Amino acid sequence: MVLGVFVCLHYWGDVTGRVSSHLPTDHSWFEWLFAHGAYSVRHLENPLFTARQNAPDGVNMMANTSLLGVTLPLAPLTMLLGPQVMYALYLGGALAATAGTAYWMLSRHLVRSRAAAFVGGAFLGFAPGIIHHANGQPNFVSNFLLPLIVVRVLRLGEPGRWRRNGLVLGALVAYQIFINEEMLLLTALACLVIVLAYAVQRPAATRAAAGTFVAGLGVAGGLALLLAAYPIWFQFDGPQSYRGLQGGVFHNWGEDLAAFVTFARDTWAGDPAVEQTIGLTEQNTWFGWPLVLLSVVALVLLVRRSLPARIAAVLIVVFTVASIGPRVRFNGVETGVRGPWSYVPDDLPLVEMMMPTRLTLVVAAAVGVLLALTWDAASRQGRAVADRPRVPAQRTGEPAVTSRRRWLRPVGYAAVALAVLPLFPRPLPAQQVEPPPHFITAGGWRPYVPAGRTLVPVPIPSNVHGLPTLRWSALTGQEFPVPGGYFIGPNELGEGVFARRTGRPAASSTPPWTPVRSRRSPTRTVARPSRICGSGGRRWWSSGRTRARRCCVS
Amino acid sequence: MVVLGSHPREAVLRELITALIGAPQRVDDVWVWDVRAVVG
Repeated sequence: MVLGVFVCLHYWGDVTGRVSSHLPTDHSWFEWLFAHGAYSVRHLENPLFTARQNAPDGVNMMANTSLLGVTLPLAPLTMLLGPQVMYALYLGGALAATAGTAYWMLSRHLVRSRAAAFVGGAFLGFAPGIIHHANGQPNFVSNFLLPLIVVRVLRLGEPGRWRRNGLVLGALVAYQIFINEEMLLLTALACLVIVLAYAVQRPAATRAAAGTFVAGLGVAGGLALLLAAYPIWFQFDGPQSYRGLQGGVFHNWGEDLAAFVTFARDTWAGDPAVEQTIGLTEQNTWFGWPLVLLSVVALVLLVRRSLPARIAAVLIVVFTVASIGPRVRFNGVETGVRGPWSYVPDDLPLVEMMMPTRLTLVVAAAVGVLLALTWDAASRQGRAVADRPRVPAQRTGEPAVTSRRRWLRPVGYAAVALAVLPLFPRPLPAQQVEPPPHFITAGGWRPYVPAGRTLVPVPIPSNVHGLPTLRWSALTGQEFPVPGGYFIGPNELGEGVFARRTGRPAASSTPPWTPVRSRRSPTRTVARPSRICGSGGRRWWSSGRTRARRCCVS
Repeated sequence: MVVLGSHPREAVLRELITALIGAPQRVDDVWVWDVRAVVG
């Protein structure tokens, strides 16, 4: 919890005057979302849709990263504290909560040593990739349900409990849909690999549990579908829904091979200079050399002794390879070598919206589990064998062996500490942002805006020049509808694009105020993540929510 | 209504909107174009 607050330290310095300088767009968007949750509860409106942004067409909130599972229950707090305080409070809380549930999972089901569970849990909650997402994307930080989901999936085979386990899993999955569907999909893929890896290694046990497992899975799927059917229908077929996203360009976003051994920017050992070559948008692995070396050594040592370590190894290999993207990229340079995604068609449903680099979040989770296993294994060195499960009786001569191995314990602890300490997070970077005008905050606008009319801020709210004016809406309880905004909606062909109105030809779909864009620095989208854009005064940001990459004047 | 607050390019923006829909009023700390008469 303390670490969660520490990560948000720069925000707390002036919570009403600052946003993430890495992703001011997404930071503002999530403030707007907290306001949306509060607005929906206060006015008892359907939270799956809003017409307070992009008026009069509105925005499909299921088809955007609306975080309803958080903003709705926290609506009373948002009303009390305002969306800015809520954002900083929630971000720190979500990091800590994920570390907490991960600790619970590890200590309850995988390791004996509490310290081992603490190390693994802290890594799962505060991994470099997660901290990097914390720059504006609380939905990728809100992973507190995922350890619980994984535990339930792996317990589905327990004899006699399929109904109960299935119901709990179904409820958890349904709830996760309202937090982050993308992470749910990644978790499901990881669980699939875990179950397959287990089945191959323990075929007899798998056969024995298969019936119960399938029954539990059926119950879980049925319940999740029942609870989430309407919202999911709304997402894909409701008003302002869309098909596909930016023509599948995100398939290009593979993880750079050099990224695995680089320290992430917001870690103790990290350096902003890394963004000059790779990692401008997302830093999902970014383990650094020490952790990569430790993982390899730990896998070599543990893989023959421990089933969980073998499964972690399978996860790491499978998801690392899958994350490479259509072309192998090394240190910012795209090589001619084809990656796995070059064999995947760009228009495959659902997969078309996936980003290969994010598959490495599963690798990060497996590395976290591996850290816990490593610490746990070290803590058992030189201890009485009675500690160990599956060893029925002590053998003679064992004390001699344990005393010789005692030195391994501090070595193991030190190795894990050396690998993890450089990854200790730094407070996230923040920047000042101008507050809305007094005319807006004090309600001076009210006499001018009759019911059903919009307030048109200049520039029109958007993720580029209209960012400050989008915040006018977010910070005043969304009491007036605004045109434009920052969201994903359908274009005239029904394809998902950023903040574009429907029913108009593309050429005129931007508002008449477009000329205010500076000619010197037109906003542009660049497909290749490794390119560096301009210099002096220009700044990159990726809108991770929308996954666009834009280059703008800061 | 159309509202322009404090902005690094406030002067240019005010000229632009003025050319499009007429002269603004200064209310509190913003420029206001009351377009109710125009949009009906």
